[in-house]
Amino acid sequence: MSNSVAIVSGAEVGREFTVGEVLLVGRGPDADVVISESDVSARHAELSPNGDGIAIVDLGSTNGTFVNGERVVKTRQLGVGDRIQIGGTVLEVRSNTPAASDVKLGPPGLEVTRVRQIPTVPTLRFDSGPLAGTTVPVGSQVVVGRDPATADVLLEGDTDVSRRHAVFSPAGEGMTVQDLGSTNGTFVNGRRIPAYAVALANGNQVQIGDSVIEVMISAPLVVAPPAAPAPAQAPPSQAPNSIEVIGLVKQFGTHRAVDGINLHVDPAEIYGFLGPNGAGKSTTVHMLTTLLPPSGGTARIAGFDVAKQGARVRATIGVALQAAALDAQLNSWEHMDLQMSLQGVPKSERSKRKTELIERVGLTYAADRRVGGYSGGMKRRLDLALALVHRPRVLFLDEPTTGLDPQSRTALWEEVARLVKEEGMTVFLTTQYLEEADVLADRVGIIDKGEIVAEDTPARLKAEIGRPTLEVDPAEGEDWSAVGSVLERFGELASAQHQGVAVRLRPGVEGLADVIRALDAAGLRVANVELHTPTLDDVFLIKTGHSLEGGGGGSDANAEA
Amino acid sequence: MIPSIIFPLFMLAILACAGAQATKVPGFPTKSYITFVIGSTLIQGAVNGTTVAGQLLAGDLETGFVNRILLTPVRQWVLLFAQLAGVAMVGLIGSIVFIGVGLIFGVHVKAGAGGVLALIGVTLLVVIAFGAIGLLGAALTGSAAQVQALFALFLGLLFMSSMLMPRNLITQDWFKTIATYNPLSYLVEANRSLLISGWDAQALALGCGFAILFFVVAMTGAVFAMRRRMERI
Repeated sequence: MSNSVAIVSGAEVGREFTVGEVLLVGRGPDADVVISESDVSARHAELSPNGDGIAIVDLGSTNGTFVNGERVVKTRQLGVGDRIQIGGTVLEVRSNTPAASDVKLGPPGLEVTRVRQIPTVPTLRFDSGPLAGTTVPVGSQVVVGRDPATADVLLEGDTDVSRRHAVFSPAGEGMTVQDLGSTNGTFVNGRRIPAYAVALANGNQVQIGDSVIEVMISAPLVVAPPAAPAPAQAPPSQAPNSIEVIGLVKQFGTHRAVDGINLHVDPAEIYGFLGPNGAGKSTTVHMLTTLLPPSGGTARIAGFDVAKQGARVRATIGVALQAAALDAQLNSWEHMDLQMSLQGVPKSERSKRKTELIERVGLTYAADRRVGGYSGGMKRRLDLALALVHRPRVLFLDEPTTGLDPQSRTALWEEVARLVKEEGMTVFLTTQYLEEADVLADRVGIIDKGEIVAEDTPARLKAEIGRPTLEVDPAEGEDWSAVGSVLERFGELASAQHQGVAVRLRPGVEGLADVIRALDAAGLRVANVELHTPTLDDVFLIKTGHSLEGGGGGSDANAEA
Repeated sequence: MIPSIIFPLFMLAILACAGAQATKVPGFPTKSYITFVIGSTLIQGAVNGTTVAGQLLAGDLETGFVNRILLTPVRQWVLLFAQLAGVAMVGLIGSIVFIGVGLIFGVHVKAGAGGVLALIGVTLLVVIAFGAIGLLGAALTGSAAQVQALFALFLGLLFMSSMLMPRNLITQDWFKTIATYNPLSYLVEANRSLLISGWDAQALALGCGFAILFFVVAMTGAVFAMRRRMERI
């Protein structure tokens, strides 16, 4: 049995969590104990069993972690009765009693390896409006509206609410919300949602008319047998090409440009770091490449600490920064000579290496010309070649295709993909172009206002917020209900954005051809077919409340307040 | 090369012609005004090291070229000293040109052949000192335009020194006071002593002392300013 902590003040008083292994406490979606308050950082603190008690580690949070009123500097041992304050929530350490969530299931010998809180039905809590104070479980579809005949949750008297305004649906372990074509829209975290279903996370605020509804979703109880022993391998922080960041902070005066981010990049992975201007992307890259000392946290590149082993980090990495800093008076060969000399490339290798790299980036025809006469794309290609002279294991590309034409951009993407595939290089790529992250990155981390708000593969991030919706416009005179019947075989019918019939496709339904064939087989004619798929911008919108494309502001690199 | 060599030569030509009558002032230390003024020409060229070094560094900061260098094994202080090496080379060439032109037009070096080498040495010291000031300006401002303004400042200070007339013969008290407290006067007088007096230990010590002081203070400041500037990226 393990010690536990219980919430004694704040939202969800009475909830108890067993600390059988490391529990992450924070505001972010990957936290084990989610506290949805603005004073709480995405990854705020960690609780872990330590001897007979519990240890707490502050992960570089903005507003601090307090134990019995004293701020935790880095780590602190906790005893029974100690009170932890994180934001407005107070947790109390309880003695070794079997919590309700401490459950052993399955045959004898099966151990519980990861326990979270007891699963509950996703719930809506009305914080304002006609139903303020009411909670509504979402065990099945719940329609919110003003029509007594069709609405499951009636918002009477609110003229901003349509008769059938929106529907909340359970979805796996969470829930989704879909606007049903309302006049005044449905808003999540302050932004109007599009026509298709949008996945909700714990703590999201949904507004319908005057009603503000808080989403409450619990993490599931996960019971698993002991894992098979993993094959012996170096820990991630010592893997030859990896990047490991824990609680990284950069503070300029009172402004926190990077606020305690955590990320890990595996060897030979392309990690896309996505965010608007001023989010903290370039500041993060400057810290990881030793150009800026961190204010807090740690970062290791290929096992070397950026703050303590800067020289080793620099020997391991290649960097192409946002500005391709080239001397206009030198040509490509001269740049290569200078860079190789500075990097200490042996003289016997220089000639062959520079020819190879110039050829690889397609600049042989222009290598004798001064760089001052190069186009933007040519300069970027030379910049990439210069970053590779010393055969780095980890490559940092800071917005490498900004300002490039589509052809140059594609060429650069192909070269980056080749470097990873053929040379096993790890690439950390910052970008504000969704397409670039979508096409190139194996995993994407989305940063906003100095915090990572989401991290996963592009496909999973998009799938998390909703499935594609197929919208079919039947031909004139066609039987709409028949079209609907065919489409229902492929998913749930949804509200159409235009005049038509829409279906939210089930997972696994990928090809339009199946749907078209089914319509054709039924003898139904269609005038138009549109497929609406969630984009990374939709992911960004849901996670941050504003759009990435055209959003953000201020300079990312000039982060002084 | 234009501000470092051509402009000072231009000034030398003007001053040598316009100031020739000054040698008739009782107590003037030499009958050759060009011999008198060439010492300040050397300093004028050296002071321009401020602009040369400063603008180069500021330009590299503005374009991000410094980041490229700092991502290699090269350290910040090495980068700064390397900039000075280039400035010193320009200063060396300038010194040789000025002395050569001066000798052609009748300049006599009282301290002899050794004095010529000492002239070059003092000038190089001043070049490096003012180069360091330029680096400090670049590290503080990060702007080539702002660094360029330093040249005008130092040129003005140079005219407010004993550049055109020995301090003891300046009749205007306010000007004499400024020239006395102006460190550039001692840099000029160090060179001038080699040309007119021979080996004057006090003049050389004062001139070289000021140059070394400027170099140490400016270079220390430049190193710290660069570190702080790189933290603000």
